[in-house]
Amino acid sequence: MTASPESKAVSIAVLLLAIPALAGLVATLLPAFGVAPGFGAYGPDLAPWRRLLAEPGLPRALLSGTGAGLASTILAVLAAHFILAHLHLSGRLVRLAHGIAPLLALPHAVFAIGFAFLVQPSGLLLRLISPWATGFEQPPDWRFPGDPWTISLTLGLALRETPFLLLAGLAVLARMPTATYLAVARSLGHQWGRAWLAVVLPPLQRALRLPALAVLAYGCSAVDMALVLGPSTPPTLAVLVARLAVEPAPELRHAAAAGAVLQLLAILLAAAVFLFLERLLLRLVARRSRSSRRGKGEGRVWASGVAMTIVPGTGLLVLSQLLLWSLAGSWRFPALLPDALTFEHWRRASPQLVPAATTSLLLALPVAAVAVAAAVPLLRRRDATGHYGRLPAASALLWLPLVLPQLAFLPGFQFLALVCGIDGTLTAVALAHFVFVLPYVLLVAAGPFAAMPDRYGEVARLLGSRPIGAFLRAEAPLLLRPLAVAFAVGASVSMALYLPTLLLGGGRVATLSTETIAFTLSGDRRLAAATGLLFAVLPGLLFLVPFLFGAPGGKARRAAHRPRSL
Amino acid sequence: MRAMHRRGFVLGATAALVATPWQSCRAALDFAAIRVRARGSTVYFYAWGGSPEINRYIAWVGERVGELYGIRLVQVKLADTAEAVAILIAEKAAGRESGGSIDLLWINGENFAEARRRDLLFGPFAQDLPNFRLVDVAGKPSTVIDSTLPTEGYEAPWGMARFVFFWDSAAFPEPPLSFPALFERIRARPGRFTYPAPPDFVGSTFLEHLLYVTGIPAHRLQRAVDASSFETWTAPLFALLDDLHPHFWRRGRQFPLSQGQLHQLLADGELDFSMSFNPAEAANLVLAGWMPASVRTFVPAEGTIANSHYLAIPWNAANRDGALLVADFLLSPEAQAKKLDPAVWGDGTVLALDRLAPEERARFDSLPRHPSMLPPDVPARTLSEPHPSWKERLELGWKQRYGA
Repeated sequence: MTASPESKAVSIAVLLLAIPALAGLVATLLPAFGVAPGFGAYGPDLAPWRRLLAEPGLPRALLSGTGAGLASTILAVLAAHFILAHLHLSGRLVRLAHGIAPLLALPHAVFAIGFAFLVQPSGLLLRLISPWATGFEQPPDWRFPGDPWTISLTLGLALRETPFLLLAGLAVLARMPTATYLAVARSLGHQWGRAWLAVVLPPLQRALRLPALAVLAYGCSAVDMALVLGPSTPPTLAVLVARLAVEPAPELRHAAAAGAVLQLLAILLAAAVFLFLERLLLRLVARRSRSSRRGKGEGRVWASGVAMTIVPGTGLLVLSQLLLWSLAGSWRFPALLPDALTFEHWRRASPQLVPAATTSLLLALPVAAVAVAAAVPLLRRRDATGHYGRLPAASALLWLPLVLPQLAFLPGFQFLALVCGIDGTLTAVALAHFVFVLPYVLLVAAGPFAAMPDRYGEVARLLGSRPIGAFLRAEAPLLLRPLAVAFAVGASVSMALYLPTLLLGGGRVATLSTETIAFTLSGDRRLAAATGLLFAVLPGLLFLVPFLFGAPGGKARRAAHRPRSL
Repeated sequence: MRAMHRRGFVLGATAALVATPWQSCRAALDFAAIRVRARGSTVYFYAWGGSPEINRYIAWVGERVGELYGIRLVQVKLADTAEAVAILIAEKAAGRESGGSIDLLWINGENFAEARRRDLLFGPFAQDLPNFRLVDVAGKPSTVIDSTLPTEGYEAPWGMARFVFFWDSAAFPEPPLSFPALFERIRARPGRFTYPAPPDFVGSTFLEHLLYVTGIPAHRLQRAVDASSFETWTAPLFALLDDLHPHFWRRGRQFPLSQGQLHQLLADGELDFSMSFNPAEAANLVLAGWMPASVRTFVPAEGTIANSHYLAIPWNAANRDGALLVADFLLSPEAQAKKLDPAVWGDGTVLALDRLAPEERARFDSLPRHPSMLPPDVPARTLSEPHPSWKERLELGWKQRYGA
């Protein structure tokens, strides 16, 4: 590709977009090595690291946080594959999945609260079988959730992230001529399941790799979910670091910066392990699909059935529990239903809910719109290696907020906002949100853009359209739906952001995300449920936007496939 | 020298003396001018937001200062007041000497000590508030001595807290009326007692009671403690916890993260006990439909820690005038009586009721009582809040032993 003025402009845009992430990172890295003039650190030295290592329980915190992140990612990827394969048996179910997946894409914090409502000793699951089967008149004294082996956190993360991978997978499948692949494979004598393994799974997993790594990075560094479901003595590394970051003493905040670096190293290690396992699995799959031995595949069918039941089932139970708790009067163990229903909690919550919901939307909608607008030119100039323009390093920077823990950027952002005098404002929060939203938008929209055959634009250009006209007339109509999905994902990411909102808003910017966590930590389950429910419904509504641009598997998908089959 | 200075001021009788020196040495604030300047302004009130009832009270305050002074009050809800101190430190480092983000701050104890040490607060101002003359400084010495540190006018007293325990009278009719009896009960009914993990302030304060219970003399607790003497003094305390924790909820291997979560566990029937810094909180929670009506409040015979909480104004507050007016309103009989109502918050007043005009006094006398709150005839033995260094070391020592 020659260096056209357009590609130069894209390079500059990439650079501009990458600056905030880079600045935040540098402003975090320096204090981690004792360089923070004005904050009492005139290094470089390793004092922050010594302080971090002195934190009680650090090795276990590191192990439990990273372990839960890795294990939950593996579980979620496997579940997504089973469900995608299963759903694909019937084309109509794909449509259903599009309906269910957004419903399940509950904000992490809300999902964690609802999941705790299910699995805690006084939760729904034990109420269902108590006292008649268990003999429990009082909730048993079980250390769950919050178990030291992070089983509850791992399960919660896996169940929460599977819908995200499903959404990503469905987008990929919609662009893949799976039917053709499968027909060819079956005509070669493969049974259906084997054909799927041979021709669909490998490219599908390659396309799911980045989303999976994002899930991994999130899982290792999640603060909101780990606060609710994770162990507390010690907590996971992410929670430990986040607590250091809000300490007043600068030396503790520098230790937090060091902790953010440690978190980053742990994520890189976990990613390496994940990629190794992925490779192993793909190799195994390839060998099995080549062998002529005919397995019945009953295990897979069974696993698919379990995943198909548990993932949506949990989502629906979580929502039902949130609804019930938000309306519950007295509701003691082991009653299956509340003694009485009341709107009192909604009334109590509404003075805080309405402004918080407004602020959430005021942030999410413009941020997501700008992110989509910024993503389009970048994605159009994406070359085969996945880089934008001529600055591969800068385009790598764009991805950093996805892979690095949020905390790696936030102390730096905080400092920069202070210097600019915009800390505690909606602007500062919006700018920080943009940095975290953009890579998600790029991620979600990248697949459809890559699948878009070049020839449309080329034909339009040959017919005399200018590049922008060619895009708007020939390609944009086909990309409307994926862009709407990207917008919805971007907006829901913005709404869910907790730490960036808290730290850059200086607590002044109250969104549904910060209010939900505040209510949860304050222990008022009913207010937390009411806030959480609203927090879940709003992004859910956003996911209806793509349907305005046609049903999945409809026009856009057929159109995208046509050129290949011609 | 500083430590001795502090020790000299712990007794209630000396408290009134503290008030005088900083009253005389500077010109008082002109509240008429302040009222004019503050009209139409916004006050950002950084206050712990963990209690919906308190948040609603602050919303009511917002309505009233809107009516009285044309001030818009915005509560910025903190999970931990240390976050606000962190903001002030960051602003100081960035050289923001005015236009700071915090106008008014709810604070006490180690956060006040830290803010004073770093010179982050405006003052002295407390004695200049018109309603300060109604404060019961002599009867309630903690209104001017915050965890052994003289406030020196850098924070205005807002409310009186007293540590209490709740128990569910449906589970057993009589509470344990001493700490040994409580420990006996914990051993007899394993898994039914716990406390919020420090540094939650209720959890840390529960541990501070064990400092008294395990025999550290009260006067020693009023002085700062260093690492080595702390280990010596607290060996019995940690031995006691080692002994008791296996009988705790989750065998003492997991703890609720806040007093709210502790309350929820009692409400769920997972615990027999909860605890609070507010003698009326149980009533408040019953009235809010959160706790079963069978919950009652008690204090052990050894007494419990009582302290005050305060309002401070940062040195760089953008709206100092508005903050002064809101602080003064919070000290008014109207606001203090409303705050004392168990259906609203139930927080103790800092005012001397005998100094109030009869119609203002009536606001306090007419407040309803509730069976779930601490009965008024309970022997009122109170313990002083130890020097902040004890809490700091206690939190660290706890984390090293049980938090890892």
